[in-house]
Amino acid sequence: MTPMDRAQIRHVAELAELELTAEEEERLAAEIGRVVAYVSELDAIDTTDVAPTAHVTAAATPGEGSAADDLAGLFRPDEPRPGLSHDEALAGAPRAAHGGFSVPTFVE
Amino acid sequence: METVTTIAESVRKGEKRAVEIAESTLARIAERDGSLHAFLAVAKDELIAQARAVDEKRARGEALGPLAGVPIALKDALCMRGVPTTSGSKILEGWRPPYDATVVAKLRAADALIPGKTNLDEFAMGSSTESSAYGPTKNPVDETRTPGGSSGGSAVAVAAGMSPASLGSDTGGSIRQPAAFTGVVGLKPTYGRVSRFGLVAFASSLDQIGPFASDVRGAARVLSVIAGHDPKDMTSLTASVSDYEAACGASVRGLRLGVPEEYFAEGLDPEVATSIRAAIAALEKGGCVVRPVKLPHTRHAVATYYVIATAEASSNLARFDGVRYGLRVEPKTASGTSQGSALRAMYGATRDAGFGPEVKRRILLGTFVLSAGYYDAYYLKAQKVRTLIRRDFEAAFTEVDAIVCPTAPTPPFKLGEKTSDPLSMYLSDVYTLPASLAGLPAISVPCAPTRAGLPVGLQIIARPLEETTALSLAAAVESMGLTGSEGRQ
Repeated sequence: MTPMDRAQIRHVAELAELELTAEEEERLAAEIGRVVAYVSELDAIDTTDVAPTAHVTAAATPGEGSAADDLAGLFRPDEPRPGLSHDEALAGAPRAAHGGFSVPTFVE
Repeated sequence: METVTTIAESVRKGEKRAVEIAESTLARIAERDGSLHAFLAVAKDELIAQARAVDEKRARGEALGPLAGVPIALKDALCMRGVPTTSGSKILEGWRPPYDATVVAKLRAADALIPGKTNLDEFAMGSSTESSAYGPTKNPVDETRTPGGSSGGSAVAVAAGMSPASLGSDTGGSIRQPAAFTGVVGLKPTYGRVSRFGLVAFASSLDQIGPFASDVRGAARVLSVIAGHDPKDMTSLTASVSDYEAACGASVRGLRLGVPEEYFAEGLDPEVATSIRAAIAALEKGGCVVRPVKLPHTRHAVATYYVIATAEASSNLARFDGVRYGLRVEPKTASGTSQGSALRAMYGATRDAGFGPEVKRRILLGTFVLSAGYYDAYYLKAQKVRTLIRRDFEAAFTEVDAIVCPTAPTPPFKLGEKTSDPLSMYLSDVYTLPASLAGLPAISVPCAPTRAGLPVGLQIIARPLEETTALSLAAAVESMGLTGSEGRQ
């Protein structure tokens, strides 16, 4: 596994909505490159016919059935219930206006 | 030191007032926490108000709850209505949750007292409490050493006698490892045993809330209060809650214990190995049947965990965007003119300023392993290896009732020792990650310390929902009073 380069880190940072300084790009490319090289050891493990584990519950048996089977019936009824009040929901917002969350312009 | 159960009994009998306990708790925090820095916020007024309410309830002749007057500190990733909750990050500085986590509501209903919020690695990402944006917590046994992490503050609150119990969260060892490092009891319940509603999410297929306590019975009582199904967390299990306290007095004679050779391999500190082997020998003397077991995929747990946990974290932490809560940074000049650029520039500037280096590393790694072209090779592959790790335990549990091994490969390490090398920090979780990946209950109980007096924890891993077995064995170890002379005459 080749270490990560700055272009790769910049691409991933853009996907993650992280704006990195040039110094951060360089340092993180090296640090994450080392971790990626380490986790690449998984490559060598034979996982032929092994089902992935997406979640664990006490009832689920490893590698058998899909997540949908294990979690069947876990939906709650789709009924209105009391939640936070409008004011409570907005109380933590850095900026609120006209009864909503205020954000910079995103449609011209 | 007074324990959870002795305090609750003395308050229920009227031998002690809850207000006295609250005041002595505040005095103890004032005395000890200046140098230790276990607390990020002390909820003084709330604590006194809760204590008065407990005393008034008793004066009215009403029955008191099982944690009457017992101080229980909260890891600062748990929401408590109106009390600042940071999750150790600048991005949540000053945020006050508009609701209680389910575990907090349950503690209140049990008449517990909540002295405040404890320090943690930022968003619980770390093994030493050093990645907290608010400075590290120190180990009360030796203040040049870390208390472990990520729930380091909650462990130290108990170890330094500031709170007889506390709550932490454990994603890859964040309760068990700090418990081992500070010489207290720490229990990670089965995945889904405790509701996570109101816990700031890190890795949702792994996160679980659990107690720290000064003794095994105290951990059992706290678990009995917080366990159970919660309609607000659909991953919480509907299975009935066992009698955890009764398990603390149960006989361990005849229980079959598996010792996994993979946990005694290269990298294990020899003094830790001696202490753990002495504890296992003592359990054998106490009537347990000890035999070797194989968990061959153990060595891949670190790689598996750091792919899965970071992938889930990158998704969970997308919610911190400067819009609904926490920090917001508006760049002075918009960096482009295309549609959406001002909004995306705000996201980028907020997240760059609000997240610390370890959180950025994990978000980037998690985004990478989920990104087009890499998903199958890393994320899907890790999910398959996770299945193999679970099968290892399933096979072992057909032969034994519990697995006994070290909680951590070394005694508590020095502050700053591993901060410059993320990978060496990740490797310190090697013994706690497998049980997390398999969703199994596991407890760390103190055994004989090293010659230098540094704490060592024995980890006991049990079958799903068999916290009772782990508690019985932990209580047996506790009652043996292992001091270190057993293993090295």
